[in-house]
Amino acid sequence: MADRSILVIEDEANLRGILRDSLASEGYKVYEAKNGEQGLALALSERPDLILLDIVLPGMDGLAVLNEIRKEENWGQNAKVVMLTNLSDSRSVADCLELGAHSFLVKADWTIEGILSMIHDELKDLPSQ
Amino acid sequence: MGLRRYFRTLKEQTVQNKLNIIIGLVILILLFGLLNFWFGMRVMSGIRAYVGGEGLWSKAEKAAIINLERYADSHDESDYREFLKNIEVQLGDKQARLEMNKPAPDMTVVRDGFIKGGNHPDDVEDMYFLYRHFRDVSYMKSAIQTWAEADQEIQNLLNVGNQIHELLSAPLPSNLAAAAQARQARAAELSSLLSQIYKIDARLTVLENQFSAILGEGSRWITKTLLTATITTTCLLGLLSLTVAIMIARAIVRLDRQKSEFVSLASHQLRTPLTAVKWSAELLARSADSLSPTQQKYIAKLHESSQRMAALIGDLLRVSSLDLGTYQSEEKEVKINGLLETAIYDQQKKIAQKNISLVTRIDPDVPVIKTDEQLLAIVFQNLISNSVKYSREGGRIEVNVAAKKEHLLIQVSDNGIGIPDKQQSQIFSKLFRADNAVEHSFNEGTGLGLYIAKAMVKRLGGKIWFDSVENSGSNFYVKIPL
Repeated sequence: MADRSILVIEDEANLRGILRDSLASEGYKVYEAKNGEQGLALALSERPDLILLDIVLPGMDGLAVLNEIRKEENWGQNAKVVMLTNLSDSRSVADCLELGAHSFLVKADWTIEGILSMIHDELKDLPSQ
Repeated sequence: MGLRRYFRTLKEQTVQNKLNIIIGLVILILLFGLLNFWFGMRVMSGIRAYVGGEGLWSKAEKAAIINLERYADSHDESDYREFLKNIEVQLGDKQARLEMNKPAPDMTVVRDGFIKGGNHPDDVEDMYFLYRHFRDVSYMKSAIQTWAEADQEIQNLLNVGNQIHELLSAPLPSNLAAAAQARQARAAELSSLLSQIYKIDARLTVLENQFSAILGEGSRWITKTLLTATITTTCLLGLLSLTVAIMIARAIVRLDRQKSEFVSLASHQLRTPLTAVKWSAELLARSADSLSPTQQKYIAKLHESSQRMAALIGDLLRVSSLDLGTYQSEEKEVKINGLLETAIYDQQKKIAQKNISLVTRIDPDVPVIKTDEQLLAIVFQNLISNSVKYSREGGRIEVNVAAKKEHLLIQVSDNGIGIPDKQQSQIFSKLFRADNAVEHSFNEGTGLGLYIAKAMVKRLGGKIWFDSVENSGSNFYVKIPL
């Protein structure tokens, strides 16, 4: 997995740390961002294979980040973005899916094992870089 | 200004105080209404008794006149006794009237008087009540005045009666000529006395009519007054009750909304730290090989509890979104087998642990349906997770999906612990868990699953029901329109 990169945009340090450690131990190259602006900048500069994106973020929120990513014509329009949030209201889900998020996961309902397995499935068909 | 200040003070009260004030007013008006009714009944009953009494009084008076006439003609002592007997009626009523005029009347004397007057013993209380409370009030005052005048005339009648009796009782001279002369003088005096009687009778007739007319008028007036008071009281009571009902309904709706918003906010805020606990426990459990069995046991408990809490929060958020009405439906083409697979996949671990055999049957003619996928997914998840939860080791679960004429019929059956007969009616209630469910799996289940499932099925325009036998299993059915 060394050639796969994942960007974690998460403001909660505890959760970000767990995700980073777990992903890194699976061999992914991990980028971390603690707010929307930083996350967007990293996404556009590093073009990771997958982005785990929170919705509630200080400053620019996850929906705005996703919207900006989709505006980038070459890579952004098809970038794999998985919403990983604790919001579960129907409005948020609908908004994210409308903006082309690949999946919408409620953090509290998912295990790390489940998230890793989902990421593995998402990336397995991706051509090697 | 005073009224405005009063309203401002009222407005500043807490909801509880406002309700107390209004409820107090309602009780007050209700009491007033009851008092009004009781008072009205007594007054009306009193008036009726006096009208009846007046009838007896007049009848006896006329009879007494006839007795005197007859006595004057027959000179028979029994006619005179009849006269005295009849006049007892008026004298009885007079005895009651005079006693009632005293500051502290003796009720025995009053009762005795009215009964002598021919009145029914049960009416005495109301006659007394009316007299004592209204003797100085318009109609009653003038009726009593008329009564007193009539009693004076009765006294005159009695005097004349006595005179006739004395006249007729006086012995005649033994001398025939003197006797004839005395008879002549007696006849002349008798004639003069009889003419006095007729005059008294004429005056009494006028007074009797007057008394009836006054009571009649008074009765009409009091009926009208009481009716107005009753209507006013009823209207006020209705208006206040309506205000109370509106206030309570508004307060309930507001409090319920605040509660749901609070639950929603609190649940959401709880999710972030809980996720950290849950994920940490999971990672700890994964690297638990180096820990002692006791430590491993505690980590497993930590992991399990955090998962349960996450499920509970998820359910609470769904309930609050239903209560708040913030859920937005979104219809799209849904493949039933996909939903079913996901719901079963979520339970795979537990199905394997309990060695449950699960059979799914989806009719080939089940079409792709247009519905709210999220809602239907939750219904499947809840029903399947329940059947797994309440199955025993080696149990069997069957899921059937069939397309009927205009609807989809989903059936989830298990041979698990079932639902006790007595608690079946509560099974869809919020936070309800059957006794055997709590006993069977205390740590699982929130008491919200079936409540949510029912709400979601309703939202989808469908119906959910079940049949179940305790210790034998349950069949849940869901009907969704196609």
